[in-house]
Amino acid sequence: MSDVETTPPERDALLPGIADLDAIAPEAARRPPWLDALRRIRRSRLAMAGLLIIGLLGAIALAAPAIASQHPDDNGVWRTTDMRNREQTPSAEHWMGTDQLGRDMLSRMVYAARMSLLIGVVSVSLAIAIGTLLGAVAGFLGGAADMAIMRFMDIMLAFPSILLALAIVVLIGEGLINVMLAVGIISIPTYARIVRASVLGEINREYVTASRALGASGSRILLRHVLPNALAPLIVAGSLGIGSAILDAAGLGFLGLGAQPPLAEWGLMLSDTRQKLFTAPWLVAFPGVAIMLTVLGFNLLGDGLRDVLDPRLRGR
Amino acid sequence: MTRISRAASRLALSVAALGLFAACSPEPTDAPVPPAQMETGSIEEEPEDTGDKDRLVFGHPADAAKLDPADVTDGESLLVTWHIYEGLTRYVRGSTEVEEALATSWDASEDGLEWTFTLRDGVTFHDGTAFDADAVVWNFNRWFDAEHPQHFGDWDFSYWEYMFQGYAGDVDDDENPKSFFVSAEAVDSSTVKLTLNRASAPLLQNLAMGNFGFSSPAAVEAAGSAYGTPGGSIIAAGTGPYMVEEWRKDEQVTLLRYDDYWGDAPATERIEFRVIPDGTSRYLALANGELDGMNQVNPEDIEQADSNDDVQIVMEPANNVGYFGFNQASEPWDNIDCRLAVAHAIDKEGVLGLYAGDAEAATQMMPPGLWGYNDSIEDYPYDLDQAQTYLDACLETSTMPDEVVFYVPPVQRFYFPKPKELGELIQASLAGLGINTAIRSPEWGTVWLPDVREGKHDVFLLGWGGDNGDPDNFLCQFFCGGDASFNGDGEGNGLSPDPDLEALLKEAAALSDQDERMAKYEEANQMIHELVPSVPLVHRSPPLLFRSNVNGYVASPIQTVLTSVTKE
Repeated sequence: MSDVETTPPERDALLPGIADLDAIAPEAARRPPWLDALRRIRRSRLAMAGLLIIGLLGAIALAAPAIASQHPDDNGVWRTTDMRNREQTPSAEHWMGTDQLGRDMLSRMVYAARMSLLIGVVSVSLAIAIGTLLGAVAGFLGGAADMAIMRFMDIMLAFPSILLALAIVVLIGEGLINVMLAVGIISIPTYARIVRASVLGEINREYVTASRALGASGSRILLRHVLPNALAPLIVAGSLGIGSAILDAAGLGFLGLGAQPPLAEWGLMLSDTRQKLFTAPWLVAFPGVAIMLTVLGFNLLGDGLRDVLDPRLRGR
Repeated sequence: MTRISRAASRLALSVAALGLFAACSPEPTDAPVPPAQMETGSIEEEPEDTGDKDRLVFGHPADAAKLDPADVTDGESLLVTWHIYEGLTRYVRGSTEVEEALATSWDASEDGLEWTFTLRDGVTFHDGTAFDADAVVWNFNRWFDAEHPQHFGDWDFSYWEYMFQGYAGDVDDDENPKSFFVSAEAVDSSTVKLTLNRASAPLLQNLAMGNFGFSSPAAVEAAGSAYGTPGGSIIAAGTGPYMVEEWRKDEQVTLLRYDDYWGDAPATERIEFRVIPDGTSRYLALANGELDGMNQVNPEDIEQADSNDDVQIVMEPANNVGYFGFNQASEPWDNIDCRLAVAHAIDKEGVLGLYAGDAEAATQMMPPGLWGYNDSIEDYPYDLDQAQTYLDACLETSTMPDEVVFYVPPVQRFYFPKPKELGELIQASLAGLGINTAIRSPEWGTVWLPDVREGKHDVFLLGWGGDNGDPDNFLCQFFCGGDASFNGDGEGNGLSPDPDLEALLKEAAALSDQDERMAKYEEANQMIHELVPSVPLVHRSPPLLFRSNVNGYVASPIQTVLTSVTKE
């Protein structure tokens, strides 16, 4: 590993340890690192399966207005209730049947996909933004700031995450935006720890000392040299995190604290219909399976990405 | 119940994905007994009940809190005490009208302030002491006087306060006594005189309530504060057809036929009220023959029971109403055309789709089983064209806000087993008319109810379950301006939605002639129908289940009494 320290930081930044590859695949090393990563992702069956599921889901979510036969109003109200055609089994007209208020289940499902992806992406972005800031500050400043920030993170981690999310939602109120906030807040410590660990790992490297000696400012060192090293683990944690964020949000929706009716959201749809398990099983199965597939997709992608991006796992 | 079930349903979420697999067996079978069944502890202790005609086992979800009816408010306690205690009057079986019980006749003075009751002869309490005028006076004093040595209680005798409006010495802001009750005196050993400070037409109805059954003074004084609990030296002593034989807390209360009962002896020697908290376990116990009857049936289990030949479903007449209300203090709901538009836009038959066949569409703000119900009222038809016409007329003079604040209960109520779905359904109907509503379901006890009482809503869903079988208990409760849910002054104080209606209801409540009162309430119901202060939606009937060999139960809107029941 001795050559790592002398390697130009730009090259090493995104993928630590990439220099090891030179011996095995010299051509690969000459390509830009992200292209190399992409190539390896494409070889990973796990990651591709995950990507496929997520891509499909994303396409469905984007094309929801085209796929659905019924649409909500701008304020989310579904005026297509039809009590005379409630709980219909799947048919040519309603591919997934109709729900307990006679609305087309397929239309509700695809609009709910938008909701879930939105919740996942927004809450994880929020968590990464705040977590990165806190982790970087803690690792870079050290001392009392580090102590204060990280002990607070430890306290947050000491709570079961769903309990903490529940407490936050009870505090700030129900609703979609608050759920994104709550789910985002509970995952901040994960990202803060990842970033702090990366910062601590890099901050005393010789190239950092060298650029400091050359007069680089603290912020330049942080942004240019240190944080890029945290990118790979952040991407992995983030894609795994979206899965658990969707699950947590669905859990809150199921408990009646998430998205509020009449919004279409999978967790909410599950809680509305859970008593129909025996009389109208499809009403429970479709949202349940959708949540499962989505979380599976993000988990597969996350695992695949880790295999690709973590040098210690490479080559296994 | 929602809190606990929500917590429990966390687990269900993780299982939910498995719904796909569970769905492969669409029909759950009755036969296997789930582990929960074992918790009742009855399997190893007792054989099945089949063939034992002298023992009726009735399953209910929670044990009686106390067998001292004056101090309880919960239905599960009253279920048991109805069999043990009697008051001066009682409800005619199967109805909310009252008849003689421990009083054989009564007479009211012209001004309705003095009531003289003649007591039944030859009645004894379960502890052997005689029932006489002194016992009646003692009981009234115990209820009324918070300083009475035997006026102790976990629930503070709250139904006395509620129905008689206060305790001895309570005064309102103007220093007038809060309660209309003044005193009870023994004229002779079989005559009691009640004195009131203002006429109260529902008095006889109130006296028939299970809470106002008489306890033996000697028994209460002997047992002290343990009276009515399993630890008391005497658990309970009333004059009713059954007395307490044994009480194993949270397991069962066993009642034994009282041989010296003054009336017709009940057919069954013993009634056991067995506690099985989980609804489905309770149903399975019934399906297995371990129970002869049960209450509080899950909607899912009603469908099961319907297809089980060994089980019969008895629908008790509804004693409640679920309604959609308008706050006339907020524009445009002071305009009757807007209210009529909504009345024509709500599909009540569709609403019934949210019930398991145990509800009926409501046309009035009180249930059909109650006297004073007006049979000639025809409901507003579900007609969107007509609704639109009314709405257009309304909007010529009134303005509809961009967002109508719509309060929907966050918790199940008996009359609204699915409040969230109902809210969504009505929201969709109103959206069809172009009325945008924003559903609000904040925390029930601390936010929702206070908000609605203070009139912070535009429209709302709520309901009411009756107490004493008197129309006043429904209609005046809603429309006499007690709170600001239907109309208010904007500062949280309630106003009646219509002064003429309020006057009519107050007049009806002050009459003492039953037939005159009935006519007034029929008139009031017609008036409410024309004024549309609310859209009555449903009356829901509580179902009971019995084994098919159980006969003679008389369904009642107001009490579950098993004394007439026989087993084949």
